[in-house]
Amino acid sequence: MIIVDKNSTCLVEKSGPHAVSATHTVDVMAMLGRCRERLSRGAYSQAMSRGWEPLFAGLLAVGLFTLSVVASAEPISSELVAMKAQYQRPTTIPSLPSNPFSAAKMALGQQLFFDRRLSGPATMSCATCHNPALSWSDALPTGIGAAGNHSVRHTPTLLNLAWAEIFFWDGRADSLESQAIEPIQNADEMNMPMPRLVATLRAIRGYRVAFDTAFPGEPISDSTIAKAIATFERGIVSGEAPFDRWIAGDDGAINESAKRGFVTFNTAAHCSACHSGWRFTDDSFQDIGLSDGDLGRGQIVEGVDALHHAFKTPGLRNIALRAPYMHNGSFATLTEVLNHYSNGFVRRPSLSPEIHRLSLTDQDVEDLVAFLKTLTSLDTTVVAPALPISETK
Amino acid sequence: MTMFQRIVAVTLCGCGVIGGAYAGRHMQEIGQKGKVFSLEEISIPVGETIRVVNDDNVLHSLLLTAPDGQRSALGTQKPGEQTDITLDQLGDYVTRCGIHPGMKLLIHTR
Repeated sequence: MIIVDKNSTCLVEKSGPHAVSATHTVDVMAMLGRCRERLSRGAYSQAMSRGWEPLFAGLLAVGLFTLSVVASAEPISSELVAMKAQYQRPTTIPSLPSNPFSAAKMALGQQLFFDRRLSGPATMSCATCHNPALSWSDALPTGIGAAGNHSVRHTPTLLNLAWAEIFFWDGRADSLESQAIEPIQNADEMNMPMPRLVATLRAIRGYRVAFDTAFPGEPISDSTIAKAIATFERGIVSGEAPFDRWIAGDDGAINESAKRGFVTFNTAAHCSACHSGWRFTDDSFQDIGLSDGDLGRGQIVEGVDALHHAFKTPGLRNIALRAPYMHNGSFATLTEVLNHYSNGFVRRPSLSPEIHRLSLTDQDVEDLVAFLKTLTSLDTTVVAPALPISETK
Repeated sequence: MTMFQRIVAVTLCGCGVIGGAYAGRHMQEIGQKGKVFSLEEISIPVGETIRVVNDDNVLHSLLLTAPDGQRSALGTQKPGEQTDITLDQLGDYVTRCGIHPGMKLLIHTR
């Protein structure tokens, strides 16, 4: 839920103290102990012999299993506490200085987001692909444009983009404002030239009033359309999930399988190397070894081989509701995704150094899926707003 | 060679090959560790060179946007490697890691 403070800063409502709890179960503590023992005796030395020092150093850097911890034999509970501390939710939603939050912008942006007149043939709105009933995506392997054509990439969710750094699967937009109006103009998506959209909106009295309220003294333009939609999109924030309640100290909020999955996620499965923080992404671009020929960010940043086949690391909030998965929508279930990471990826020069054979057991996969399901929040229902009508002559 | 390439000279150096001095002057050094730059922004005289050092355990890639809007990919840096960047335009440069765009450094030249 979103609230607004006296300084017009948009706040995420807190449902309780977010203090990190030191409570934990014997089961998880035992697992941490086993992981630590395995790390110190076997896996660590094996990894070093295979040239994976950077990989393990990455793990150490996020404070999961530092050598100092291994050496000093601190209480295992402190490791779990440190692990959990990295996943606390923020309390405010950021915005750009050039586009500060206002309720009027957000309301206008919501109208524009749900208005099919933003597409060339007036057949689809932003919400057609970014459907709030489908976790702000479309449940399809790849998106479908206004002409009925399939995109080559999966429609990404809009959840939690206020904290994102750059946008689209390939990172070609530097701001949510520049991202917001690209699909409108893209011939393969909404296929609406911006000059025509500006003229369409200027001809609708209700939009003239709404824009004047949101942007006093400014005309309806590419810039104000982008700012309004971006302001609405920044308010699309996943709500509190069982996982958050566990982080906040409710030990019974998630089951034992999910707790084991959380530890595996942060240790043996190495997921947190990229899926880190409360959004479960560091916004990095990685080639995770999917076999299609899409160059991804490699098409945007030329001359950097490491970015070939690299795509933006998606956040994992509400991930159980967001099938199918990956940038090409090629996996139908989370189990398929985990099996890919375990040993199903294509080995090639651009493959991320964070990707390596995991050999997860069936129990590991089951626990990881149980953990990922705890990231599902019961979000406030979003209602399509009343839209200004077009005047008839 | 483009104008941007003429005004931005980039030298990839092996770790430890070149000392900390540049033309007899102190060179501003920026670290990369834990997927963040050691500074968020710096101000330097126009024409100065800065050194960006990868103290991290992951690969990084520098992308530079000059005051005139020109963008340039400055290659990748393995852990331990460093890149020297000479900034000959007056104004504000933005440097990001191409792999980890959350890493952002603002460079103001005066």
